[in-house]
Amino acid sequence: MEHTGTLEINNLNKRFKVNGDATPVLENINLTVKPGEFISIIGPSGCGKTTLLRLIIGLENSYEGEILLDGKRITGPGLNRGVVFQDHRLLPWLSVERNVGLGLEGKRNGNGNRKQIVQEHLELVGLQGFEKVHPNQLSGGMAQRAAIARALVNQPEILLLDEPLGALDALTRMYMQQELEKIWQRGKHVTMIMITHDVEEAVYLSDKVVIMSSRPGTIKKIIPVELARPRVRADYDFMKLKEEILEEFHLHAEKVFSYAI
Amino acid sequence: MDLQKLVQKTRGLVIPLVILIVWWLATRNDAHPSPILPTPEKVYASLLSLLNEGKIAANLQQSLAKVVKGFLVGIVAGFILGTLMGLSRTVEKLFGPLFNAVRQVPILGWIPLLILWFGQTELAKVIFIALGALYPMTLNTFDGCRQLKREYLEVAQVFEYGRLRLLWRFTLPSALPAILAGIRVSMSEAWLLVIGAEIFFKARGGIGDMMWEAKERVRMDVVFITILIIGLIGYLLNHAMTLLESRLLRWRV
Repeated sequence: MEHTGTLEINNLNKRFKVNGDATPVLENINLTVKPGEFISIIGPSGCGKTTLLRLIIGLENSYEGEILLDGKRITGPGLNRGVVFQDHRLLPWLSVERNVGLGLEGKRNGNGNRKQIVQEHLELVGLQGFEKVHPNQLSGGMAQRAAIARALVNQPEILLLDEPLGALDALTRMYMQQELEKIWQRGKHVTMIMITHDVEEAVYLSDKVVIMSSRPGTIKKIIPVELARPRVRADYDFMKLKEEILEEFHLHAEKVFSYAI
Repeated sequence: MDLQKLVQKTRGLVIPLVILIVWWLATRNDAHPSPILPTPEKVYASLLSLLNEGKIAANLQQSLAKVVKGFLVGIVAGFILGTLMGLSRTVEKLFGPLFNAVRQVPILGWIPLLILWFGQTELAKVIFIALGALYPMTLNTFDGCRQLKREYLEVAQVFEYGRLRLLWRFTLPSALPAILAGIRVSMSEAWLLVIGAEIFFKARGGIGDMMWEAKERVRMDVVFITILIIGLIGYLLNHAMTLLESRLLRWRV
């Protein structure tokens, strides 16, 4: 079981048909994610990063090349991959407890066991005491915690996060970044692939930052982040790395005025 | 008790009260009471005696029995038809055009056919009511089932949900507001149609029949009473539905 959670993407190409013409969305994507790694994919909007994630989830089909999870080609969604969407997508008609338990409903394990798993995951994300609450009564951050718990109950090999903190306010987001790191560490280092447009978030959380450029979407650079955890945002190395990534988007400090609108 | 609250809660009674006073003033000085506008006192006295004789209870029971049967048949059939059409494009294409064509016939237009096929029977009346309840229930359930957001559908896919669990956990709960609206409309439709059924199908019994018979005997006081009862029951049914909806849809707030 040690090597589960390896994701390999080889020569991936993806086109979308628009008015009969096939427009390339992703071109020649090659990426290997090792078990337990935390990878961030960052890029401008329209670079195909969400499409890439949806391909890994299995919600998009028909592609050229290979997407392999532990050596097996991905052909559709599966419980070995957990997903956290940007909009938490908790079902409003179910309590937090039931939402988190959604992934366990098909399982033949006893009711008691299921309850216990749900409880463990609620504790993992710090939502104990909110079992019976409905999603509309939760704040944005809490709803996203519940969504993370829901995605983890099946013990997926990979957790796929599509801008999970993008809709939160700045302070809540920073707090949730810390929480996400804790969840990742406590969850026996499940492999995580996160889409984000927040450079600081990527540097704070990831082992590797994958930088994409757009039209068509390609991987421009993969930058390893070899800083000790927990990371300090005000650290010199942290800032330098952040600057280095921003430079890839021509947004680093020296040129900032030429891009001011 | 807060006076303002009391005023707010009883505002709806102001206009009826004014009408009652005007009515009372208009009939107060009649030396020869008009047969077409009885005095409020007379209506009240008749109401008491009808209640004492048990006539209202007996007729109401007959009407409600028909309503319940027709309503249940109508909403169950409508729920099944609406769900199937909502889930399957094939079923929609098979039944949709026929359903929409048949729906154009006003409910009253079915009376001759029902009488010729089933006679002046209880069954004919129940079918008549069921038909009226069927349409809104089918349409609302159909719409509701089609409303499941793609975002939620993807969640079901991610968790590898099969058709049945998708229906039970996602489609039907998300359709619930529409389904309850369908039940509400079907219920008031059923209550309206039972009165029609009792008037048009010439079999005895029920509030509608009581009203029609009173008309034949020019007993305006009884006509008034039956109108009041029909309105009151309709109001109560609607109110019960409102309570049920707000209870079942608390998650929407």
